[in-house]
Amino acid sequence: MAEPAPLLEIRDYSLSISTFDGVLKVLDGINLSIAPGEAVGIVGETGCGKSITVKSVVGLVPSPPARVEAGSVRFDGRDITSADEATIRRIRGQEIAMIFQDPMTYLNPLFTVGRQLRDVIQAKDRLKPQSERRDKRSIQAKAVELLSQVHLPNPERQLDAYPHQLSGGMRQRVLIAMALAGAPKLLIADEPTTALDVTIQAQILDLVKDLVERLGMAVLVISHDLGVVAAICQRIVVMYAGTVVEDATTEALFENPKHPYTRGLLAAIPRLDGSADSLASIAGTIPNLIDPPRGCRFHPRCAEAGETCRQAKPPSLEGAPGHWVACHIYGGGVG
Amino acid sequence: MALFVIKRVALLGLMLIGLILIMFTISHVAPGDPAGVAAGPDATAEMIEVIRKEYGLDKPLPMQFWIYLGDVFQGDLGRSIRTTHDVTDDLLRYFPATFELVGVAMLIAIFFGVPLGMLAAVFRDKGADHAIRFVSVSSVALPMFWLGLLLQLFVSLKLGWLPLGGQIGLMTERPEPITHLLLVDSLLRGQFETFREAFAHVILPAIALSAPALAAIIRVNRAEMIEVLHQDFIVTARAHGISSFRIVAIYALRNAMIPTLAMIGLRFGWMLGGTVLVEGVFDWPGVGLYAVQSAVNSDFQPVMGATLLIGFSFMLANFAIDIAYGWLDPRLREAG
Repeated sequence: MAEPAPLLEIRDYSLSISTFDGVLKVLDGINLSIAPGEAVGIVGETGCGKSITVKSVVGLVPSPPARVEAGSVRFDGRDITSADEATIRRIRGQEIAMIFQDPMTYLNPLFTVGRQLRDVIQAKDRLKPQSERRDKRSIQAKAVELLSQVHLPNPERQLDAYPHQLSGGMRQRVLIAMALAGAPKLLIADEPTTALDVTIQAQILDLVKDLVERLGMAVLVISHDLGVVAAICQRIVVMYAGTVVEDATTEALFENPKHPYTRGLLAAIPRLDGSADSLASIAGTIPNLIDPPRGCRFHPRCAEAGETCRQAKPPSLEGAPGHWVACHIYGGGVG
Repeated sequence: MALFVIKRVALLGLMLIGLILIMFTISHVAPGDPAGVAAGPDATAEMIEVIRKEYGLDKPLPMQFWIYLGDVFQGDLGRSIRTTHDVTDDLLRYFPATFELVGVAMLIAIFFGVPLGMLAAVFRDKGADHAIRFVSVSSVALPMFWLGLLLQLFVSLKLGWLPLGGQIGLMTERPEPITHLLLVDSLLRGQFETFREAFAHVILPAIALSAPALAAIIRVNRAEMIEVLHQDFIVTARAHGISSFRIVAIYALRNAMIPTLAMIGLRFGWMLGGTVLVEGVFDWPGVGLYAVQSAVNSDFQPVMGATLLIGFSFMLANFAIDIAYGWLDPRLREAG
């Protein structure tokens, strides 16, 4: 049986950013693919490149200073690796939508929610032929519909509110509503709940999950929190210092983590039934990306690293079906 | 919004009384005896005493202040010894010309400064940015009167494009006053030839007067735009495919305009002060020239009147800017 063609496919993608101190090798040979309707999560520490991967793919990283060194990006059958600004904006407007970390700062404080939402609806309408564009009244109606879709109470009234008059959770709902305006095929959620209270986090996660199932769109969730990703996603990609170290179904990853880094991450999740004396952590800090470690980028922090790990970059091997690991020791079904 | 405006109007009233108090105090504790000056160098002590009584200068200071305050609010600013006219009448003659000059200069500064600042921010570190910054730095570096002289020499004398000075030709028929502003009145009365001529006269002095403000507005607006364009909500707008023009000219500009407005308000006051020099160079019949001549002649009432008027215009301009803040920023509106 042939696999469905992936909606988004990132192959051997490497990205560097020039800074005053030198060239940061931010991404090194990233592989990532998402099937239509699939929910995939990317996890990793702050600075591991998870955010910049997606931002770069949709053209939100200014170039220069950023530069694609190698690899390709295909979306919905088209190669968009070096697409021009107009093309990428068209895709961003219509087919890929994004929601971001801090709902506080991602809405313009000087414009009403309604104005911003209507502008987004209009911007997406502009990509359609003249005859399908909405008039003022139906734009307004669409805005109300979007807000009720994200379960914002009193949608008509909220349209006249300014961002500072809404709570964090409400603002995130508004941002999700904006993302839905163009009926996207892929929703990218970059740390969607990090800035929110725990109870609100759960509500927003439920909302995203519900929307993804109802609207049949694919979703890519980026988080440093395995719990958040596991709540929504069927598959999880673990990133470390600009490389993908493990790629597996949520179930496989939790039950049978292979890569030492993944195991470290899982061990670092505090458990209610465990000892509360101290929290587990992975020793060391993320490496300097101007001069990344040779070989496996994780080897300086890996207790099991051997000579090969210091010399050669580990290839990503499929040990069990659909379970990819980039590790000299545990890759390829060993261990 | 109503509360926001009411509060600021009340503040305006208080500030006006404060301004009068400070001005009054300075002019009355300053050395020099107005009665003596008014009586002339050969006056006897009795004559000075008579004048002192006549002007009410023998009364205690608080009493004098109270009387002065009452007079000011009735539009009576005293009489000029030099021109022998009522100060109010003199100011009514001279102030509109100054107001017109400052108004045109401010419009030039805003209409060129804001877009140039915006362009410089969008094309940061590119050719356009460097060119705009060159203009901005040169405008600050050249003193106003010097720039005025250069403009006169080049544009008026060498090229002969625009008149050398004055507000309007001597022979030109002036329109019946409505607002006392020459440009506005000639338009309202339909005298387009007069308007054209008055406009030709105002261009050079207005350019000279606007230069420092233009530079300041470019600098502030550029810096603010650069900062705003790095904000998260700009990423949101970009991520949803909103056009770059809308993002820059509407989303970002509105945010950047708040600090820019503060600079505009400040510059308005500096401009009113700067008119003294520019009016001198261009022989512009304005209040700056009038105030200087009065001060030189120890003629107190006109100096106080002119100071009051300039101070009050400054306050009004900043009041207008406060209101604009409220209009731009919903958070300020609510804070009241």
